[in-house]
Amino acid sequence: MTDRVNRASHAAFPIPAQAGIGLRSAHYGAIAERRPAVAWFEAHTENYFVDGGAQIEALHAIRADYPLSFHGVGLSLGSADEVDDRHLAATKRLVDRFEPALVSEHLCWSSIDGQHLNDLLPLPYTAEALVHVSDKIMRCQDALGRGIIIENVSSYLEFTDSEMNEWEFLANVASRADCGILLDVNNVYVNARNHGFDARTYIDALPGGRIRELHLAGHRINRIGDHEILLDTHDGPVCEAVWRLYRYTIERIGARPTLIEWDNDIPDVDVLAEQAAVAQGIMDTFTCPI
Amino acid sequence: MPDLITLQRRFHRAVTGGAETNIVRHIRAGALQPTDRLQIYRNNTYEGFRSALAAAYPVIERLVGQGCFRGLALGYVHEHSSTRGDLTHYGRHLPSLLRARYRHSGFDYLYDIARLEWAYQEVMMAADATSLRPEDIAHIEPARLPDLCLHLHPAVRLVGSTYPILGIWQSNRAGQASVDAIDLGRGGESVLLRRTQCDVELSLLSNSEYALLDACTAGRSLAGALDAALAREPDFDLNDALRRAFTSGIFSGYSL
Repeated sequence: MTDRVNRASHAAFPIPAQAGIGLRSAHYGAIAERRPAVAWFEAHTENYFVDGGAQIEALHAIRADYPLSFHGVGLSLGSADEVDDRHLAATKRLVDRFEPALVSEHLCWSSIDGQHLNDLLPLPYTAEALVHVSDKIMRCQDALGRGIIIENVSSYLEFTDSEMNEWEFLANVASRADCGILLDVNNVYVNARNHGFDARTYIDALPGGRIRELHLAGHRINRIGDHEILLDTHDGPVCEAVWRLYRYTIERIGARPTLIEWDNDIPDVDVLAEQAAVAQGIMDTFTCPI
Repeated sequence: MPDLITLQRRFHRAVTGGAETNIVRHIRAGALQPTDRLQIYRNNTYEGFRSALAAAYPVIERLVGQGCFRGLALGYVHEHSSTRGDLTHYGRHLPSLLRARYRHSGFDYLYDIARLEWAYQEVMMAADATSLRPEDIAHIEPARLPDLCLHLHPAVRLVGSTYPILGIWQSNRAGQASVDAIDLGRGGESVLLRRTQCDVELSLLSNSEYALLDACTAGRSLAGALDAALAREPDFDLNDALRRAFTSGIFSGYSL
């Protein structure tokens, strides 16, 4: 029982404006043993869509010692379908059970007519999509009884029918749905390169007060014919250009909870902790207490 | 301009192998052609499904090889669309795909290995429950015991086969450097899977024990389950089998 009481006492543990890392099952053992010096962990919500077992047990153990954030990849908020009530209910069960400090999802779609592609697909930036996705975010926030934050995704195409820029769309959705923003700095960089805009214009256009979390990850440069396209692969360290853009972002909006994401070819947890320390160093430079 | 639902339906169709023409004209070309851009999404979505299948079926992937597994995954993706925003249960139909594909081919043991691997997944994800202890049923009058139905723990599965599936599974797990040749004709194996503190344990069951527990799974009473076990092994020892089952925490409840 003492154990449970302890866990409950962390219920209101906010995520500090410090660097954390993505929680991957390959690291459960190392985290339990070494208690790495990272400020917080972020779990993919859907990884815990199970009835019981070691996954849930490991998450309880981590939750007892670190602040936690839940990051959803499958709610398909931008789909023309209605909100997926089953998925939302499963998310709510986990949110109620673990009381994460932040709950996030993506500004994208991944299913239509109930058929899922389980990928983060780009939206047309139209007034129709804006109203639709904002309404769905509001429904989710109502159902969860708390605010969520939405993340910009990497994309490899743009629709000719878009009526606004991606950053205008993101800012408008956040304002209309009254939700927070999870700004993925790597995704801004990837899209700036893929679609030919200045990444700083994107950052400058966002309402800094709504940005509650930042993501950093590695990407890959792929060549198709004579052309380059950047793919958001999450399989390597953060590149120098993305660190520069991160520094620019922190300088503009101040320190924010920052997450290192590494989902493929996952290295030792210490490698992720080292990347988190770099992010922490950048935040410390701009928030030096005098 | 198409509305959102039309655009998404066209995109979905193009990515899942249907016509591209209706979506291509809504994609800005730039340096890359719209068809190249769509191909990235086609690759990404397929890779997402393939890696989910490979994570659930590492032994099947090792047995057939990565190249063949890619082909199997492609066939699977075409036959089974995902209907959920999580991939937790996505791979559950792979055994039936393998059965259809390898029937009478000499590789039909792949079906049983896949069933074993999916059972492993189910055991990992199953609900937590307290195991039944012998003292929990001590109060039941002996005369009523034949009508007792023992319920298997949610994190327990049985997989029976006419092939030595446990041997095949053990020697093809990740980390096994060399694979000893296994005589497929050496006899069938029935496997009990149960969750321990931090792992899934696989152990062999005798034919009669398998029959007993399988009958319990099917909801049969102890009398019926005993009949099933005796049919396999005339001198089957029920007390001994139940003692072992209770020690391993195989049951989590009962009904009368």
